[in-house]
Amino acid sequence: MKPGLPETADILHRVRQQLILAQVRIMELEDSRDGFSGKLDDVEKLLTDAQRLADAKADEAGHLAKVRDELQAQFEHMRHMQHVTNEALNQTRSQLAAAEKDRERLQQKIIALVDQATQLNQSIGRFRDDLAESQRVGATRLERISALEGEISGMKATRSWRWTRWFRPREGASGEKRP
Amino acid sequence: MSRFAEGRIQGEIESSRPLRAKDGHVSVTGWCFDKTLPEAPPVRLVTPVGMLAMTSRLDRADVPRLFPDNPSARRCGFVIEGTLPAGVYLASFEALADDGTWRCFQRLSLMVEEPPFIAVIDEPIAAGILRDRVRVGGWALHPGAPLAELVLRYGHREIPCVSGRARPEIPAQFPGVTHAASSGFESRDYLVAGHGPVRARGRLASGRTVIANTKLVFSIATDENHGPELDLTAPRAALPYEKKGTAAAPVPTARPLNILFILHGDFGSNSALHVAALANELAAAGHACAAAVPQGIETLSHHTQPAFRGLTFAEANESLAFPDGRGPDLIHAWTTRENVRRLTQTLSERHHAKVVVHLEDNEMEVLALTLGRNVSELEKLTPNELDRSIPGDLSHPIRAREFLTASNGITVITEKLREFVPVGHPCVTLHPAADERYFFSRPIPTDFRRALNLPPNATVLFYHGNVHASNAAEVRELYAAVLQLNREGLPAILIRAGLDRWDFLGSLSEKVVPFVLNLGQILHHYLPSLMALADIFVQPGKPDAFNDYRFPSKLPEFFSIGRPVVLPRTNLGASVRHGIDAYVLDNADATGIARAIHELRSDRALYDRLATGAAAFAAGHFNWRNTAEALAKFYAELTA
Repeated sequence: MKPGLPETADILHRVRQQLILAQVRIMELEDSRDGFSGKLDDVEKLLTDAQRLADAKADEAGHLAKVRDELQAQFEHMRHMQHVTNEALNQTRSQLAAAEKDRERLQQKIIALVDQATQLNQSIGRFRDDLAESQRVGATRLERISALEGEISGMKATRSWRWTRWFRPREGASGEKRP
Repeated sequence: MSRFAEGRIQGEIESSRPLRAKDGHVSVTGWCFDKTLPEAPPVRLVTPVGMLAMTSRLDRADVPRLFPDNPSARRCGFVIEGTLPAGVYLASFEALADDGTWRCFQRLSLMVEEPPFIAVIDEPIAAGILRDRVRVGGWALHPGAPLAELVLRYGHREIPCVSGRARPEIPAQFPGVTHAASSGFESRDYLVAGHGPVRARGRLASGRTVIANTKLVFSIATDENHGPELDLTAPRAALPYEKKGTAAAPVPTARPLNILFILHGDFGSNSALHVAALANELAAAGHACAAAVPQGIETLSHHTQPAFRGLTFAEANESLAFPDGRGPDLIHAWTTRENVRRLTQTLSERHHAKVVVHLEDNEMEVLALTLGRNVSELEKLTPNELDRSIPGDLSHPIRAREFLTASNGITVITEKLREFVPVGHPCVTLHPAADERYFFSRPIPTDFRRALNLPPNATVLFYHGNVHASNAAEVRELYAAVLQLNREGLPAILIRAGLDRWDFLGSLSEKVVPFVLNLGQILHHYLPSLMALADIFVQPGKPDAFNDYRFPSKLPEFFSIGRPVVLPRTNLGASVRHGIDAYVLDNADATGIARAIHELRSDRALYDRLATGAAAFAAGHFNWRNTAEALAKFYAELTA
């Protein structure tokens, strides 16, 4: 014998039971949805915070990158300046070397001149000594001349013109004017 | 292992990274020592929202091995625990140097989660299963904000609670949470029938919903509304709800049109199913579509993701603008019903729109059946008598003909309807289909059938659709067939969906009640899951002046589910192959239906062949994309 159908009242009970169980599931899912929705809100908020922090760090990184770029530019400038300075330094060094050579050459010249001057000074000294000697001799001689001329004057004053006549040409030779 | 410091301080954070404070509770471990000090220095965590001090010191055997010359490395482990407000912060870990200053030895990001909502029921019991209809109480606290509302949920039940009760002992567990002292609650009423773990569901002042599980299960077997016949602890048998993805987009149209469909009923009608499917396809191709209904604009919600605008006749009459600011290029009047005809004529004159009229029934036969008069009687009525007799939702014999003649084109749902098309008038046949997102081959949900206590040999039939004057007699035959099958010893049950707008059972009503499960009106996209319960689908009827011209919209849906379909040799039944695509009856009356079901239940091979044949026929013949393309081509020709 084939099993018969249950009464539709029973089927309806079972449908109602399944509807209730479906409602149970719906409410579970609703709670899951709302729970997840809340958590999603929290995560969204945390994500926003994380993004904000990341933005701040990105700003900082941007600022640091800008600073680095500026430093890099300054570095490049400095490197250029260093190059320029090096070039100038090298040039200066070359000039300095050349000047050094000039200096040495001049030094040699100076030394030679100093030697020369020393010699000249020595010569001058000698000349000065000679001159002094000559002046002394000259003075001595002038004194003798003066003395002699005094003697002559005395003689002329005391002797007759005829007697002193042979002196007279000498007066011209000694440069003295005759009164 | 990394080393930090300003030379002297060495340290490391060892908690897994990124640092997370689950449920708002911070717990960080690590080690830190100062090379110049005999003891490891105090450590702290500093964030923009607060500071947490070291909570414990730990011995470390591993660190001294790495730093054998530093005696302070032996006891340099530390733990920092505490709570911080939810957020993401840059946390500095600092050690106290011998000069009294705090030196940072590591910086890490720290994510602090929101503290959880906690609910505890402790009255009358705190854990286990509660089976008594009593009031319950406990405390529920969200550390972030006080509760504005609290309910307890278990099974299918929701019990409101009075919250804000004093619980002076709770603040000790939550220092700093001022509202903890008023976290007590009590259920407003005694528990009612329901079974399941208890969850507290709170609403905060901000509107946010918070949910917490408790340690209790309520298992209340009965109450005033739940008798012992309902076993609330029974396992749930799932009725699968499946949906397929949307098909790839069609080829975009080169000349988009503004198209207005005018329906005679609301969006819950069978006609609306066809209009919605076509409008969605046309919209996907780039046309702008709108559909006007005389009333029941809210029934647009019966359609999932409509790609067209829905509006009432009044709205269409008052202001009808498409997204490009223009009016309709074309109005597709869905039937010649009077309400449709009147609005179509008004709007087509106003907007200079082309008019296409759709025929889906032998309107004269529908009119005659609805008015309870035969066609010849109606033809003898004077125009004035007709005007008085015909309501707005039926076709006027004379005006309908004039309407068709004046139209620019006509669409028909069956070839037979071309008989009503004026000679030489442009006409195209629109082959209906089923929404392939929902209607496809589905296995029988045996678990659910078992849950309904249906014996394995029971035959489940399923019929959806409303009963009205036009189909009342043939649906009655289906009910009679079910009764006959049971009387003949073949257990059969009919699952019905839809509304009975006509008293069609008469004396059969009492007798058939035990075998009919009437579910009432069900949203269309939920139907396939229920249809899957069926063993066989039956379209009752016979060739006649009504059926020969129609195309029951249920048929593509029956075929798509992949079960044998029994149908009369009329409309679609005239073109399917008996024994291959379907079981075709010359007359699908009670006797014929019962005979067909007997045969299908006794011949497994035939059953399987027709189940496969139905699905194959659906795949080969029912496709809204194809129909919409034919319609778009027709529109293009009319508006060229």
